[in-house]
Amino acid sequence: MASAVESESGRHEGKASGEPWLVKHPAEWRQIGIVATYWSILGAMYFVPACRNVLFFAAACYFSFLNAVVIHNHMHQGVFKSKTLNLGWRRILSFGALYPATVNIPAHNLVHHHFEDDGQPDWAAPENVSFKWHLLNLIHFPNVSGPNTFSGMQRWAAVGGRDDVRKQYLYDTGFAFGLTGVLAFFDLWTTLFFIVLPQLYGARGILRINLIQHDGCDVTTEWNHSRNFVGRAFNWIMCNNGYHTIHHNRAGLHWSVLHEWHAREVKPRVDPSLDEPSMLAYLLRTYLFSLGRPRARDVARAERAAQPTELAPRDARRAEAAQAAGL
Amino acid sequence: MLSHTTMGYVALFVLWGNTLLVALAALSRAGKLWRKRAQLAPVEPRAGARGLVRGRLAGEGPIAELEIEQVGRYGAGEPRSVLWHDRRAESRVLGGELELAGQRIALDPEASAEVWPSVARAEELATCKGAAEFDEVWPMARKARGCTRKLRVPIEAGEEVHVAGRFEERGGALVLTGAPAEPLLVSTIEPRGFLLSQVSFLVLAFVPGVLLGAGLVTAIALWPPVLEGTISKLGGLLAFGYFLIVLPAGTWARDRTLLPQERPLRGRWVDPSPKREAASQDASSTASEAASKS
Repeated sequence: MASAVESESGRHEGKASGEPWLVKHPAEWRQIGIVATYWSILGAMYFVPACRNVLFFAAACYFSFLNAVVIHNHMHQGVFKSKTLNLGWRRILSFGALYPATVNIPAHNLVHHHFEDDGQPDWAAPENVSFKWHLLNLIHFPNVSGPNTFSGMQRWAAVGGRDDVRKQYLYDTGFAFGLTGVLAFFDLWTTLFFIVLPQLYGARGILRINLIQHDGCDVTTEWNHSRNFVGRAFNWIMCNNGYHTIHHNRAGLHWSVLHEWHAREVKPRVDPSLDEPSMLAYLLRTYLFSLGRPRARDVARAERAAQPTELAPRDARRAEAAQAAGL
Repeated sequence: MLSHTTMGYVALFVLWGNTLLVALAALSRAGKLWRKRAQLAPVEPRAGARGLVRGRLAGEGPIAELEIEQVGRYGAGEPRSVLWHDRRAESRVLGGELELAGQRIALDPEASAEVWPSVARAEELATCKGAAEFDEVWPMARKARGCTRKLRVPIEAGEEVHVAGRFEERGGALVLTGAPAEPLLVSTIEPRGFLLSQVSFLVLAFVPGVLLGAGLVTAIALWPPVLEGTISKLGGLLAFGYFLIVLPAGTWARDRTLLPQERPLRGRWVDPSPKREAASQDASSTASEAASKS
């Protein structure tokens, strides 16, 4: 199946129109553009006092979140053809979120994608928070899933044969905190307020996505474990991260083709309530206009009624992910 | 224009908002533990009663057990080690009886159960018993799948225990049973005292501690001249550091107050005879040197 997916992915990558320069796929320039915009905003606020306004600050927070989306995509499939550039890009992305991008390998690719840590719960499972007022769960979620992730990473990295990941993790951390520290040395308050706050907003925002995309879903099923957000404009800027079910099931697909695979494989099998047209409307409805947590319900009916499809078991997919991470 | 003063208040709002959420989550956990303690009020054994009694287990062999499935993988670096990771834990009551106040009450082996053995017993069972055991595990721990083992931590006949559940009359005799919402608890630890200590830790130590810490760094950050003086700047750095510390402190407090059957056992085995390994490595390197010379 992996080879079928790869060939399908390749067909959509537009390789017939010629090899793109530097990057593996022409769509990667969108991701590079997002990160370049983010760094420009941070730089403008740091160096130009007139740019320290609400508009720039809000944009920095938003692009910090997008930077974390790019981390996610990059840690699944490197943006560049060159390994050195990919590792350098990791450092740049790590600074943007003030967390080591490498942590995504165990936390996201190996644990979250399979909804369990070798028998223990996913470090970012929605059940980590349990306030009755659901808005508090949304706000508090990173306070639990973040520390879970870093303590999980410590345990995971203590196992032998993971030296390279451990090394990259340290380099990412060193660069992210090192550069932030240098900026703080020259201008402490500007760094704390206009660099660190946006960094933290993005890092915490991407953790919240785990709650948003899985709360109320059934992670024991193959096609109804995730909530999708299918708006076109939303997915353009989010680099197709709204199509979450297909991303979980076929992590090897390039992000630029997820909407096609979603229509083909997910749509016939997903409960309509898990195909949300707008994330904003969902957030307002679920967290602001509703006090309680939505009750769990059977979301797998469509999946049971649909034609079965060829999908490797989770164990095999986990092994593939480990292999892709060089483990 | 966003002034540093305005952003300072924004940053303090973020710090305090999240500190309060950590405190609120701890209080919520304390409430859950307190409600569990309330279910464990001492009762007299009679049909229909629900609560906690103390007695001695009667029967033969293990009467209840906590089974912990672990996977062991080799640790990074030297000396050779195996790191154990808990996969799942399951509590079981195997049958037997409880002797109390001159009568014997059967324990329902079909009941949903919670078994709280002593931590020391679990740790003792989990330790490496010697070089032979280490050598047996090591080759499997080197593989990607790791080495799987099931540890059964028993509570044996003859042990003094605390049992909580519902008393039912079956065939003219009393039986202690439990349901998923209120499982049959068999514990070597005094459960009400244990739960009280966990609640006390959260309410009297942890929550005041994190609020006090946030108050302290706030006070330093607001030390005049605010945003200009060295003390105020130091306070800003401390507040940032505190924000990074208070979040894992919240999950640490959660883990510290897990119930005994929820608490991960984990563990690390270190090769009991590392010299032997070094000697075998020396021998193999000497052999390869000799081979290359020849």
